[in-house]
Amino acid sequence: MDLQQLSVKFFVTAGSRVDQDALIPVFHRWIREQRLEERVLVDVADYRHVHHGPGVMLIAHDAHYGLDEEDGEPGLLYSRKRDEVGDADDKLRAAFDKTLAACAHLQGEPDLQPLSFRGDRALVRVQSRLVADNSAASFAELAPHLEKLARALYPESTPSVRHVGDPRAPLSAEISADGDPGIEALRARI
Amino acid sequence: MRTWKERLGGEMPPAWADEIDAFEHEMELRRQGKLDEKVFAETRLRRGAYGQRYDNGQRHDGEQTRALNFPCGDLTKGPSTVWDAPGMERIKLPMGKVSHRQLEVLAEVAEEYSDAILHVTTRQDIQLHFVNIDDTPDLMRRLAAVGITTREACGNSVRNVTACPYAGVCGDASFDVTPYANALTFFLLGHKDAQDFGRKFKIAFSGCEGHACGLTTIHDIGCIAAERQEGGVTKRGFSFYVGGGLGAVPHKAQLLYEFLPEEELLPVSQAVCRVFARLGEKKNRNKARLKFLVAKLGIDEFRRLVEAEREVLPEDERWTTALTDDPVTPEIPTKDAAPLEPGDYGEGFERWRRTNVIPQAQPGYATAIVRLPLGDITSSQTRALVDLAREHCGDTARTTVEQNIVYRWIPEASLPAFHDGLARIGLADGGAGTIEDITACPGTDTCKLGISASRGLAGELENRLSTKAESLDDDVRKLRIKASGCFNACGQHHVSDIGFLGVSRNVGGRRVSHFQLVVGGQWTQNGASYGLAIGAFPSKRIPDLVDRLTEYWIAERQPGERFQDFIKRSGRAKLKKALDDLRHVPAYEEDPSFFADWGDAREYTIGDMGVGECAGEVVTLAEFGLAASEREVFEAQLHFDQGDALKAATLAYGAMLSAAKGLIKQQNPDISDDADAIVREFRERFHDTQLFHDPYAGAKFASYLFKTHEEPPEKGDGVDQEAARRHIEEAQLFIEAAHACYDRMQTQVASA
Ligand code: SF4
Repeated sequence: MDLQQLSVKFFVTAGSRVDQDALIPVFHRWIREQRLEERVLVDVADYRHVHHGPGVMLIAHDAHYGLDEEDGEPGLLYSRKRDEVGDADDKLRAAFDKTLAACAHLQGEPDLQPLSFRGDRALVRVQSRLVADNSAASFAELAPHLEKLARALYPESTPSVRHVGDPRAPLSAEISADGDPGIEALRARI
Repeated sequence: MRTWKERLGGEMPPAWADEIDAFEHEMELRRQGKLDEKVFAETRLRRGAYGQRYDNGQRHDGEQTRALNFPCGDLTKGPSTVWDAPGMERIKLPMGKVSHRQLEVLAEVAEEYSDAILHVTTRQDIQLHFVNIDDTPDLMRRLAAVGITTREACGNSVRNVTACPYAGVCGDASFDVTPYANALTFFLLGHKDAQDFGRKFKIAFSGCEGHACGLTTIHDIGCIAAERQEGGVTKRGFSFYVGGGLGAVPHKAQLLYEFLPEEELLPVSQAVCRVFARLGEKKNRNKARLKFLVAKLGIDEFRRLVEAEREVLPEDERWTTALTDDPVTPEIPTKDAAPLEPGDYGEGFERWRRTNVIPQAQPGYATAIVRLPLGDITSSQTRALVDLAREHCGDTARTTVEQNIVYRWIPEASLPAFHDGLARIGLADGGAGTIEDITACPGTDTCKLGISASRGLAGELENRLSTKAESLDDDVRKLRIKASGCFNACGQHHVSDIGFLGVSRNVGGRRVSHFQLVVGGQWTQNGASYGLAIGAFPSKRIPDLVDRLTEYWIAERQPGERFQDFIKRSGRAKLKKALDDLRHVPAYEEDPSFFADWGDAREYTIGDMGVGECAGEVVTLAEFGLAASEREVFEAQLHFDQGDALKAATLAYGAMLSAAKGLIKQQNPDISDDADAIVREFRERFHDTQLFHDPYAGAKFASYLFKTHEEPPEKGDGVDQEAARRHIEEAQLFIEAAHACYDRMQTQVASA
């Protein structure tokens, strides 16, 4: 399976404050400081007015980042836009790496506190419907790659991988684990 | 993995599929440097692929302007427009009409190629932002497979034809204008008489005079449904207006015909297009809209020219068949009509019903306006909305010029359930068409021409006004606010009660975002009158200004005095005085927040403004012809490489005809597609006059066309690879000679 346009979302912890207003200057500064490992950081898009929407987004050439609020569950959403053909496991690892790096950066932003991300649950999507639809058959193809990654991320528990979402949505799966090793530990394991 | 092109091959209308392939080939030619960037820009715009802010590869980050080093390097998709820079895709929805399936696909493409947001524009289009041009052919194919074309969504062309979203269900309309708007849309789409404009051309339909739904006054052509009794028979037609437009210099459309019979709608519109193409300004884009031509000639002379053109138009059977052969699918309600049972449905429902629900002409059915904040809806909301609509509504929705979505054919009894469903996805806000339902163009968020953050301002005003909407005076609640990011007026601020357009001012050596206040415009009666400019106020004071202005009106108005009348009576000087203190900008050291715009943390600058693509470049018909010939010879190469010699040779011959036709069009825009006619005119106009002659090779290149025309590839004994290769080489030489000829013609014109 050629995983085109992966997206990964890590959800905020229960005690977090999701302050989209405060995120605007943070993302502008990230662009100035070239904080993320992206080829080109382009702009900040403001969708605060949209109910359960993508919030404030950082638009980059290869991917978008944002504190997404879909289904009323806020989290850092990394959403890849441009891809080459490549190995599925490598692409998954790279997407998780970028997402976790952005989570870590946000957790370190003083103006956004309290804000932290749960390390025990992630939503993964293959946005390209050319690659896959959100069917059981497509999930069966994706699952072994996700399970391999989940085992690496959560060696101390038995993580689960399940198929989720509206059949019209992109192929979607959720990885969850019993304990939360924390964002930094996950980064180290990627 | 199969491509979208392979997957959707059988699902797209063949002509649309070919057009998208052609665009993809033009993209490849541009990548190879074989297509001029100016020509490619207009080609791209005519596919709806528009530029976006920062696409010149530069952005001010709040401290300095920095280069955005996109991976494409120097490759451009238009003058000063970097190939890889995110762009906007405008998607035409004629009459704002969109089916459930189309909405689902729009949600998909927004998710995959954009930022999962569908944005409804003030002309009933959908726009997707942050789209990479490399994704556009597949995006277009997926839309084409469900009956949506992006053709001529931008550029100097006939843009989306708009119409009342209540057409067919409104009790005030003379008749349903949808089939007429639909017929005119597809009649003019790609029509040869609508390809040589100096600027864009907008058409709107309205079912009645009184309401604002069609905004016919602000369009190049505005048609209002009208009926007339003739010999005891009710005859349908239109009050037909021309030459309206907003922008920096707004013009109200003028009445060309009090009653244009329905069968004359298409030919007269065609005649108007021909007059505009022939006499409209081409060099100065600031004067190139039809409104300037109508104003310059006067309506009587313009009418005379249209009638002269109409007289000589060759008969076209589509003038009448388009009205009958292309009927719009009648909407099918999901459920039978049923009245709303009396009961307590909650305050939220009642409030929503008061402002967002309109009874239909058909008893027992209602129309509901779904308010989209700033015209935005996510892909997931869209899917949920479609599910809800499938359960309760007709089979299509309509987008509105106030950036909302309208659902029709809801049994009144289902309104509470529909409202509950909307509430679950955060779309149950009441207040449609009131002071809290603000219209805004993209402004500095994404538009290259934006001066101020019209969306940022609108978002702020919506927040503040919605929290206090219930406590506002009833008359204040009924006012409308509209904001444009610059004088181009895409937010339609001229026809709102309280309008804003972005401007900037220098305060103490720093730039400060301001909005010019325009008050008293009339939204009803199709945008009957334009507002009065009062002066510029700092962006950050606009919310206070709205409070002050509305309170002032309530306090000072005479009994029953309408806002428009109050503005007229008060006059500019008095209003200015009442608001004057709000013009003050504190020193930067005192309050730096004035020096940043709404929703933007960076210090305000106008350094990010680019060159607009609203009008595109004026590309002559010859340049289009030459670009088409380049593409065809490129396609010939592709078929040659695949071993299809006959197809390759045929395309090479077609490429020569396109180049010749392009040149002829400079002298005779009416040249037909018939090969004999093209070759005959080419011989007379370019060969016999030696205009096409090469300084060294003489008539050699012209002879390639004559020779191939005498024995076209499909008529010969068969074409082998060697012959095909020769055809392609000759076509390439012919096209080069055509370019050289065109350059000589341009030089002659310039020196003349
Ligand atoms: S009014 Fe100006 S800023 Fe707004 S969309 Fe039009 S051109 Fe852009």
